[in-house]
Amino acid sequence: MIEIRGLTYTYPDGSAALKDVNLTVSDGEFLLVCGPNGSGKTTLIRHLNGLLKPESGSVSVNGVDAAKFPREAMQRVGMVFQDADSQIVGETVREDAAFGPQNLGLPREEVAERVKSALEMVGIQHLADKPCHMLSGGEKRRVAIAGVLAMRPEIVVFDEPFANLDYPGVCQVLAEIVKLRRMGRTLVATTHDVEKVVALVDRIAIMHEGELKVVGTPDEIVPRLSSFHIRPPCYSLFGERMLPWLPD
Amino acid sequence: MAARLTFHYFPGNTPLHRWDARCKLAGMAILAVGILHMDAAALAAFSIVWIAAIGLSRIPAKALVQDLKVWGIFLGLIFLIQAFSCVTDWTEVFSGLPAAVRTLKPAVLACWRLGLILCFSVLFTFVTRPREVQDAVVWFLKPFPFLPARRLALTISLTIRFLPLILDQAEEVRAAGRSRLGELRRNPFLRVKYFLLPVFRRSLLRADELAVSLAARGYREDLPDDLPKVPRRHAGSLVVLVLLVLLASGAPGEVAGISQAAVQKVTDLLSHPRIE
Repeated sequence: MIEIRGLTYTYPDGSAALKDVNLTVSDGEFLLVCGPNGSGKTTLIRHLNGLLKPESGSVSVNGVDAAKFPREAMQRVGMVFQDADSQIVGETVREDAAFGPQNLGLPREEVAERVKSALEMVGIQHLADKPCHMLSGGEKRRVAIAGVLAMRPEIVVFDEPFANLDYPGVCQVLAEIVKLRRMGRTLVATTHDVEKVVALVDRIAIMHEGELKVVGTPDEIVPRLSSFHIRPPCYSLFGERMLPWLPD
Repeated sequence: MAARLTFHYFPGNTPLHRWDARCKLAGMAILAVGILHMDAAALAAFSIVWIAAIGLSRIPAKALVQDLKVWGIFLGLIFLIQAFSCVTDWTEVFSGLPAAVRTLKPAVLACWRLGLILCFSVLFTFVTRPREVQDAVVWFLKPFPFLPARRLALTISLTIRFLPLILDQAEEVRAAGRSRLGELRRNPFLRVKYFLLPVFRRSLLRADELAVSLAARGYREDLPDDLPKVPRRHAGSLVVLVLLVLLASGAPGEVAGISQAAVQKVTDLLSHPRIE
């Protein structure tokens, strides 16, 4: 469970990034954090694994204070960054997936087993020895997900998982999210493109100018999206029933 | 939102922001050379000037100091190199504080000078738009007929523009590495490898994209220079700064010393029996 209490953070230039944010994410829940650019989504999720320290307030991950114990928080919360190129550090897919488990100080055999399992989970075992810079955008994003899954985190956080991806790329990433969802992982994703995941999420939280405006189920929140400068999904515009974006 | 302030332009309407970029650029160049010749008292005076200028330009000083702390590692390294190269007898260093200060003074001064130049450079980028720097460089280089002024100016302004972006990119890579507990790695070479490779790859890709986008937007080097004359008041401020730097760096004395030595040399040569 993630518990955020009175979280406040200010950027170095003095502008407020987060203003007294209070939020709880239950075990096994999939929470979508959405909001326009610059609303504080990325800043919020970077507090979940202790990458950023709150100016005031606290973030607790399964009882661990993320600011005081960032190492423990990073083990529990795996973060998939918006720009996969920033996250991929290995020359090959296998090397990159091994980066996290090696940092945990695991024995060689366990690292190999975790890498194999993570690559299989995201369906890129055939790319294991391919240089990362030769992969497509969707494949890179899956490598980034595999790198995080190899650390076996309890919670997986996605920062704009569909940014700069084509249709097949989006489908690949969505398929991984669906898999994780079925496995019962706690998931948090940020996006301003609600359409793609709205059918999968349990709750939606709307950020606007650093404030958490509303939290609720998709049925409660979707009709209010446009008032926060977020494009509502097509189904709601046409008065249709909710449709999953991923084809069967 | 960038997590750092260093080398970013910080919008404002303070006197330093409004000061003509050509004056700022010339002032920065003279200041950098002058600082290299300053003694401790002058360095202290110009450190106070820098603090005052930061206050004047209304930059969040706390965040700036936080940023500059990182450069402390770089300066510390230089201090060590300087100390090892200038200290011949290490027993003096450990024989008491006054002796240590006397022996290590050159190393301290070298670090102080570099640190102060860095501080003023950061201030310069804070209050000057990269576009203004580009125009200023073109203006300075235009009288030299064989120099590609616009290309050089673009190179300089893009360097200034991209330095903070590369540092931001490096920060992003570091954050991603930290998220996967990369900081627990004991092997420093592997740590450097896992940090530098993605940063370089991303920077080179960005440079490629930039070159293509410049070409796509019809970049040309034969555009006319339409900068107005430097306002008298702005030029006056530059003159004051130059005089202060000359005074603080002991330049009048040096100039006098050089002239005296030159006169002596000529006198010697003329009185030499081989010259008739």
